[in-house]
Formats: sequence, structure tokens, C-alpha cells
Amino acid sequence: MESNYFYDLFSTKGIEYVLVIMFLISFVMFFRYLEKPARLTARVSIPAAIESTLINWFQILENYFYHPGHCWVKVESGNVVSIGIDDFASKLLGTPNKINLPRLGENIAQGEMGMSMEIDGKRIDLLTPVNGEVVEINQDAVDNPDLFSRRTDESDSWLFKVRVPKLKANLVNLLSGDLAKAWMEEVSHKLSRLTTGDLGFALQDGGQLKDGFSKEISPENWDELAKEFLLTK
Amino acid sequence: MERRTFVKTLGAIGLSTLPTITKGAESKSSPGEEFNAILIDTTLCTGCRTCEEVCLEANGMQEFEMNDSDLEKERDTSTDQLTLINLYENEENEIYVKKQCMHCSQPACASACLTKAMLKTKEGPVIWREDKCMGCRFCMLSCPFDVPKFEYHSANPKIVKCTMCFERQQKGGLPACVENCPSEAIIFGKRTELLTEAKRRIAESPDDYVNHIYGEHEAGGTCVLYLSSVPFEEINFRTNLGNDAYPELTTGFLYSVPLVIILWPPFLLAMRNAMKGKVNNAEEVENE
Amino acid sequence: MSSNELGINIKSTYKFILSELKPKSKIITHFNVIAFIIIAIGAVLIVLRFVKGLGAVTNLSQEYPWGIWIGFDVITGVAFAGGAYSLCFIVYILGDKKYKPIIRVTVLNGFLAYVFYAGALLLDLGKPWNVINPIIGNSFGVSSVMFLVAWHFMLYMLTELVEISPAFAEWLGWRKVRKYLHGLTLGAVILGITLSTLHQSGLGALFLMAKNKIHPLWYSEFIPILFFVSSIFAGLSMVIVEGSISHKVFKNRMSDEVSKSHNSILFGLAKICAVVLYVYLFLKLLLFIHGEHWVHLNSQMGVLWLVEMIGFVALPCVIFTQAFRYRNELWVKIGGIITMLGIILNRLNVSVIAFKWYAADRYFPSWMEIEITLAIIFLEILVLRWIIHRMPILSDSPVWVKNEKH
Repeated sequence: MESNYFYDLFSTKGIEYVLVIMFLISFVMFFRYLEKPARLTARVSIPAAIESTLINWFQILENYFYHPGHCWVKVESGNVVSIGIDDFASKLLGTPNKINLPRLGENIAQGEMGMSMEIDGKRIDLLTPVNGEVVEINQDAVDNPDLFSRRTDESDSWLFKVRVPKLKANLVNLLSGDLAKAWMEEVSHKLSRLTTGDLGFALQDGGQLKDGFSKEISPENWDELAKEFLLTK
Repeated sequence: MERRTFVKTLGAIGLSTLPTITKGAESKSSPGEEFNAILIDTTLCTGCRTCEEVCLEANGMQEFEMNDSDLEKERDTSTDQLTLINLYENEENEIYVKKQCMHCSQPACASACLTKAMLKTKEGPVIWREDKCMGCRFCMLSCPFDVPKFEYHSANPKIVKCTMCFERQQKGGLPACVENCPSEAIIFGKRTELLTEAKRRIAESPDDYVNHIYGEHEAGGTCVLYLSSVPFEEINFRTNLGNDAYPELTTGFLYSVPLVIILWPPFLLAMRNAMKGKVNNAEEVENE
Repeated sequence: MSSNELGINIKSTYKFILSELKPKSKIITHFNVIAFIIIAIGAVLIVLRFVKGLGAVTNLSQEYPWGIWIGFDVITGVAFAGGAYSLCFIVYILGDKKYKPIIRVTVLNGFLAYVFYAGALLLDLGKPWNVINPIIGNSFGVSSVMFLVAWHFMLYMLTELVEISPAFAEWLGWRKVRKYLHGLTLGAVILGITLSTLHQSGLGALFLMAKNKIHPLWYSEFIPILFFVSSIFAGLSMVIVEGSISHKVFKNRMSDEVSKSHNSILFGLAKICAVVLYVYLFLKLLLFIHGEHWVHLNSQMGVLWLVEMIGFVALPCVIFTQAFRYRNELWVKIGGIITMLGIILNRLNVSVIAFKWYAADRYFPSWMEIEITLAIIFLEILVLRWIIHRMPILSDSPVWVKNEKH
């Protein structure tokens, strides 16, 4: 009977192909969204994670507040805080030739480009974690950037201090404790995915990452990689 | 140690699929005897319902009183009755239609039956064998005509349906309904012969018949064929079944089973070995 | 005190088992009393079913040969047991250690599920004593999808038994036996995943010949693939929900490792479920377009389909996504529950609700059918609890196991 009348066997094929292409594109977007760390108002409880190998690459310290741009904030006294760059960023970038800090008295804004480092002729900016007025600068770090980056004690690794009038409001936007660990876990995941196993070499090497590993990963575009993580692209 | 067991089990499963493959080859090369079939010409049926009575008698079932009021609504076969007549009226005439199992050429019920209790015989009738049936009712689910009926109120339930009097045929006889129909509305013969006869009737009296033999192609062809003076939808025949044999709906799946059994294990093993190299996870997992 | 070659001392094993038969906790608890009542009523009804036939206890009819014993107990139950093969794939094939702490309880659940649902199947059979026919081979109906499903069920139960048997051996202290069984694990896992692929899809394939009887929004030649894909998130959601319950109920039996890893496992599972739900949604959309099914939307069945798709597939996908991103355990569990309800709805739709949706008299289960279903579930829970309280399923393996490793 069908052979007497026009009947299109493949009438929906066109739309189906469109759907399938839409699926591929949207799936990539969906997956990326799924892996993006969420905003910080959620409760989190991470136990002594089984996947400790990843988290233990980069230190997260108690009582420090972290900005997604990889700077940390420590409350000194009153509403004065000290600011430094975290372990991840430090290892990512390696030894700087020059460190540029905001000037004394300058007003800085949370999420804006605040300081920068010069490494191998390229300038890498970092985002400021708080709003406020710069009240002190670590001159030692500015004068001897190479010594500064090789320090082992986190406590004298501050770069500059800021008076933050609305301290509490600022801290709400930052990560600490379990949330920070979760974030670092995500960052580590993202890193291992980007490198598709290249970092295996670093792991076997006693679990220590080489300083400036961004250059190991992507010798041509290490600065682009760094900006990707520091959110300064 | 584990590899051997693994291979042995694979082999066992693989071997069990062999019958499907070889059996298929067999039937494709030698067609054998043609099916016996029944042609029901509804234009000749007077609604005397003799077939209903003799069917019950021939099958050793309880006979009951037949009233005209039975025909007032459409009935279905049941565990008490293997065949029956339904009456369909339109402005012009009354049409009596005999209803029973269609004895499909490629029956869904027989292909569904995992114990071969439902069996398509070489001769044509589809029969049910009590000693094999587990009562799973998969045949009922699969039949496009909803023919098989189940004895829900018995502790030892049977599946009940018309058998085209298979046992009588084996002894050289005719189905009871065919033998006793006073108007010869039901005739018996080889399927091709009946199709020829049906086409002849349509050609000779085109005004009396709709130009279609129900069962010639429906559901891949059945061994019970019908002629009608009105379109078959009007006498409540299922006309949306398509011309493909119902078991073919499952062949896609069934044919892929051996493929999966062959492809999955090496693929999984390969994946595992690949992942083992990555991080030491897999090996540690295995040793734990 | 002599041991035989296998390192099994029959006498002490026997004494040990006897001692283990004593109850490990209070006998009279709310749960136990309810369970006992339900099981007792169920037992009576089962006797009634065998004496007077299926019709005395169920609402099955000539129009509806299959009801909730098949649609829910067997088909939905098996979908939920899909966590076992999914997790085995992740742990043993992909080598993701994160889920190792719960692999035993998941496989045990899967094993018990198949055993009990095979039991439920026997109840549904009209002549269960003939079930050996397709097994011992006096006539193999190899053309039948159900033949395949039946065989796969049996083989899969065996492989799961092999997978979980090291735990039994550890409980009994049979060291050599345990070592041998442990060596079979990888083979059992690979076989298990292969078998599961086939019978999860096979359960869907059972409905392929019911072409005109299932509403077009649910019927397609790809039912087997849909069943297989959905069995992944069905099983993992069951792991999430059941794991959360076990976490509270079996707290005192849990090893540190199982206990502490709970949350990270929960979030990992949520992520996997989110992705598979997303994929499934698109598969359904593809079939919807392929069949030009928009014409069906304006009807009761159409509304039901939309409810299933939007409320029970799309919604849990969103919930799992956000719960994972925000690391919120509560919402992961909520997502798990909604997904499970969605699977129940989907399987019931295919087997009973969208089946003969045009019929004048629709099927609805009798209270007795529901009661017997509950009895089976409670019995399974009791057995599960008995095993967990005695064997190293959630708790650590005995010390001698670690000494065996090199």
C-alpha cells in the first residue's frame, strides 16, 4: 500500500540532526557548568577526603580567607588585613623577576586588578580580594622578589596590608575552611584535566610540584594558562 | 584461574545461541509443506452459530444455552469459548463475523514463548502444550489480536485458544467448525489455494466484496483469512497492525545479544588495563 | 580440630553459624512488629494465591496479563538493582577508588534484589513448577526475549554471588576459600556488566511486541536502550537513598572508611546521575521528534508524559547539578528520591498505565497484590539487616585479610 502513495521515510531526519548537534554543544556547556565551583553561600562538609592526593598538592590554611583569584586575606587586628598570594598561584607562577604592589594610601576594590608580577618578561596581574585603603607594604618582597618566593613559612608571606572598613561584608564574599578546600579540590581537578596527565611526572617525583609548573605545562602560552586560573583573562 | 572460568562461561553462553543461528539457516534452505489455512467468507455467514456449538463439543468444553440476546453486544473469546460469532449492523445489512485465533504465519505468541509451549506447527495451526507452559502470560502480552486467554481462577491454569482442531487434522480430519458449517462460509485448504479462491470470488463478484483479503499480509500473514462486503474497520477488525511479522520487532534486539556478549568483555578488559596505567588505582583496588 | 584442604573446619563453622543465628539486637521494635505483621499477612495471601489461583488475589485480567508484580516488583526492582553493575564498572574497570567503601553493600543489595524479585516472579507465574522447563532444556524457546532475560537473571545472580562471596568467606573465616573467590572478582565483574547490559535492556525488549498496546509516547523500538540508560541513574539513586538510610540505621556497624567517605561518595554519585539524566532527556527528546509525537501531547497520556519528563527527569537533573555544585547533601538525597519515583512512574507507565490506555476497564492493583509486594520488600530488608549485622559488608574485613595481601 505504501508504494502507491508518497511517503517520506526520513521526514524527521533533518530536525534530528539539528537536535543531535544541539545536544553536543549543550552537553559541553552543561558539563562545564556542573564542574564550575558555585558561589559561596552553601554549606559544605568535606571529610578527610579519600582523594587527598589532589588537595594536598596545594595548601589551604585555617583562618585564612581565599579569593577565587588566588589571593588570601588574613585578619590582623581591628579591620586591618594582610594579603598574600596562595600556594597554588605561587607554585603556578614560580619565581617572579619583579613584584608590583599597589601604592601606600591607594584605594583598591575587590575583584579589580590590584598587583602584578613580572615573570620571564610577561606581566601577570592578580585580583584584589578586598575593598579598602593600602596601609602597609612588604618592602622586602618588592626589593627581593626571588628570595620572597622561596620562603617556606607562610606567615611572613604577606605582600601588603589593607584597612577594610566593611570587613564583614568583604569576608562574606571569600572562601575559608571547608568551602575553600572544596574550591581547591575543584581547581586541582581542573588543573589535572587541563594537563591530561602531564602532571604525572610531578606526582611521581615525591609528590612535589615544580615551581612555575605553568611553564612546564604550556611553554608557549603559560601566561594564558595562568590568567585562566587567576581569573584575569 | 579466573580467566578460565570466565572463558568457559562465555563459551557456554555462546554455544547456547547456536541453535538460533543454525535453525535459521535450516528453514531458509528447505521450505517444506505449505500451511493449512481457513478462509472465512463473512458474506456467506448466516449467524446460525453452529460453529460455536460444535467447537465446544469437539474440545470437550461445557456447552451452554445460546440466546439471540448474546449477539446484542460484541463478545470476545474466553476460557469457556474458543470461537464465537459477533454481529455488526449498518444501514444496509447485518454482518456476522466469526472470531477466533488467527494462527499467524509468524506468530508473536510462539516467538514469545520461552518454553515452546506455544508452538507454530509445520502444518499451520498454532497450538499450546500444557506440560511445558509456566503460565507467564507473555504470549498474551505479545499477541497483536489479544487472543490467548488465561484461567485466572484455577490452581493449575491453562492458556485457552482455538487450535484449528490440530489433533483432528493429524488424523486426517477437518476442524469442527469447517466440517459443520451449513452455509460453507468456512472452508479449509492450503493457504495459497485459499488465497487463489478468495481472489477469484472478489474478481467474479466485485460488488459483493471489498477488494482485500484480511490476513493475507496483516501481521506478516495469518492462516485464517477473511472476506468481507464492507471495509474491515467497520466490522471492528484491527487494521493498524502493519504487514510485518510481529517477531521481527524483537529481532533487532535479539541479534545484538551475541554481539554484546562478544564485544563487551574485551572492551571492558581493555579499559581496565588502560586505566591501570594511569594512576595506581585499579591495581590497588584489585589487591585490596 | 582438623581442617580439610580448603581450610574449612566443618565442626567449628557449624557451631559458629549456630551462634550467629541469635538475634543481634532487640526483637520487639516498631519496625520488627510492622514487618512481622506484613510478612505474616503476605504469607497467608500467598497460600491463597496457590490454592485458588491468581484471580483470587490479583486484579489481573485477560486485557491486563501483567500487573504490578511484574511491572513493579520485577521490572522496577531490577532497574533499582542497576547500581551494582554501574558501581562495579566505576570501581573495578575505571579504577575509581572513591566508591570502594560502598561496593560491597551495593553488590549485596543487588544480589538480594535479584533473588527476591525472582521469587516475586515465581509467585506471578501461573505454573511456577514448570519454571525448570526453560532451564533444564527440554525445550529452549530461544526466539523469546523472556528466555534471554530469564537466563541472564540466573547467570547474573551467580556472578553477584561470586562477587559478594568473599564477604561470606570472611565471616566464616574460610581463608583459602576467600582468596580463591577474590581471584574470581574481575571475571565476575566483567561478566556481570555484560549480563546487566543485556538484561536491563532485555526487560525493555519484552515490550517490543506489544506495539499497538503501549501508547506511542512510551513505545519505540529503542525501549531497550532507554531502559538500559535509565537503569544507571535508577541504580545510583537507589544507592544514594539506601546509603543515606543505612548511614543512620547501621551506624554502629560502619567502618571509619565507609562513614567518612559518605559525603564525597554522595556528591560523586550526584554528578554522575546529573550527567546520565541529561543524556536520557535528550534521548527521549530525539525519539519524541523522530516519532512526531507532538500530536499526542494534547491528551491525558500526553500530560502524564510531560509530568514524567519534566518533573521526574529534567527536575532531578537540575537538582543533582546544583546539589553537586553547592555540595548540599540534603538536596542530593531529595534528587535521589525524585529520581526513584520517576523510575517507578516510567516503568509502571510502560507496563501498566500506558499499556492499553484505550481500554474501558483499566487495571489497578488489588490491596492483596500491594500487600504481597510489601511483604517481599520487608523480607528482603530483614535479610539485608541480618547479613549486615554479621558480615563485613559495611564494617571492616577481619584482620587476616589484610595480612593476605602482598
